[in-house]
Amino acid sequence: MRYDTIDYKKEKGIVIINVLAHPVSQKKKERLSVELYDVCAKILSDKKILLTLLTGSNKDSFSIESITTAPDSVNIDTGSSPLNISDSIAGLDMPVIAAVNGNVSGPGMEIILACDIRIASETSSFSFPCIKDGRIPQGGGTQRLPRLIGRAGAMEMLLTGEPINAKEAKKKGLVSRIVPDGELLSHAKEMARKIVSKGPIALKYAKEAVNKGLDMTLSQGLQLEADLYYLLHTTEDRTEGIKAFRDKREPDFKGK
Amino acid sequence: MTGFATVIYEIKDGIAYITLNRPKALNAYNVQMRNDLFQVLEAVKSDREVRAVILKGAGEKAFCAGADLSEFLTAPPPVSARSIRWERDVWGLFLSIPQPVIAALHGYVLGSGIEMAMCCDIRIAADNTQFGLPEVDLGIIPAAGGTQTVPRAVSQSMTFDMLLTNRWIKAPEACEAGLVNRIVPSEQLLTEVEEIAGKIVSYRPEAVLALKKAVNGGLDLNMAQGLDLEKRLAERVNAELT
Repeated sequence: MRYDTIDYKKEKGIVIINVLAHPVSQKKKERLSVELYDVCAKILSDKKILLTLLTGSNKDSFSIESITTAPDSVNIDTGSSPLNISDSIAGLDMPVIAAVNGNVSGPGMEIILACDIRIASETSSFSFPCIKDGRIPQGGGTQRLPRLIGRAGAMEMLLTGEPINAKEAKKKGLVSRIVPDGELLSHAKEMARKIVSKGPIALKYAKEAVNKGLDMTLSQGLQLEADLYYLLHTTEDRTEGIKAFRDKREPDFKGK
Repeated sequence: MTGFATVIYEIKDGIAYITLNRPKALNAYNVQMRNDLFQVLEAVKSDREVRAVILKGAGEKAFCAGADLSEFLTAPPPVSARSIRWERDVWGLFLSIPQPVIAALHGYVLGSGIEMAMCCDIRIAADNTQFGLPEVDLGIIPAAGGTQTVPRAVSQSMTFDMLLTNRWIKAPEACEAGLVNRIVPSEQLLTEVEEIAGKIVSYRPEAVLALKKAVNGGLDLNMAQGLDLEKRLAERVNAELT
């Protein structure tokens, strides 16, 4: 598929998806959804990709004006069910970083909520304005937001539709870092490089343990963690990691 | 009253003090400490005189700087790994302690150090505390509950930021993120923690135990079941009063 609304770049195990925004027409919005859906499938099937970084080059890349998570008029050849971009992103079995600036709203929120780490520029803002039009989110907003920032904070955002700024977002746990406006992408890339220098299997298992574990009781989650930990005992990366630490050198992980 | 190589265990005025005691090794968690903790926690669990527990680290530098890698160089053979998983589940035991446990944190709180702290109910940190989860740097993942307990206390964003990038955070950010309840000046750490423990000890023990059970048990249930648990506990605890 040729991409018009996103830019897709792959280097050293990192995929950078840049949402070019902002496609103002409904048709363009839907095109963006299809492309994001397609790119997720492509990433999943490429075993060389260790991390996905999602960002937008425009202040409105993740605004409600630009993105729709579940375009109902679109019919993809895989079946009749409407595609849901946030589910596609949540389904990526690798660390996924969202680096956002500007206005993140509605479906854009739902997309970044499906990522693992969110970092934001100082001037970004976050909102779910759809209640003002008498609608509710349909791409996981009512489920992922309260799980991430707590019920009270989520209710306030969903019921008032009002935006919060980067500082508040950090305080609520919506994002984990705020960076100066001009440094967002360089900061995110550095973070991505740091992550991919680590053992790829351990990264995958860490993500699985946290995300699946949060949907289990604590004791079930602990059992999952223990099982994954012992599975890692069988990897060469584990031996290499501990050896490198003791030899005071950088580890050379092979993903084996 | 201690016979342990790596842990000091004392009881005073209803408060059990568990001190991780390998200060030269930054209180790193090793097999001996696992065995010692296992015995100490068993003792705490069944001791009705113990009404609150304080977990702290000896020495100036660290509460606990993680697992002792000199003992973890080779993976244990599968048979012993299996038996450790079932028979020496120190973290499951820790989380099953009925009395409130307060962590007094200072210096390095890394890897298993964070994970031990997360098994506690209240966490107080000295202003010099630093937190980190370095496991993925070693090609492993946390194994003392960290992937489960940390995201239940701080947001998933912050959990992944720490877990996937090995980012260390200092006390103020840890407090903002919800990893610790509050920060105090280093020299006041123990006083502050003792004050909290003392308060808990002064309350009716049945009520304290029921409270911990209601909150921790309820978080693993759906809302209706949680309310039901609270009701059952309250009926029993309150009935004993009349």
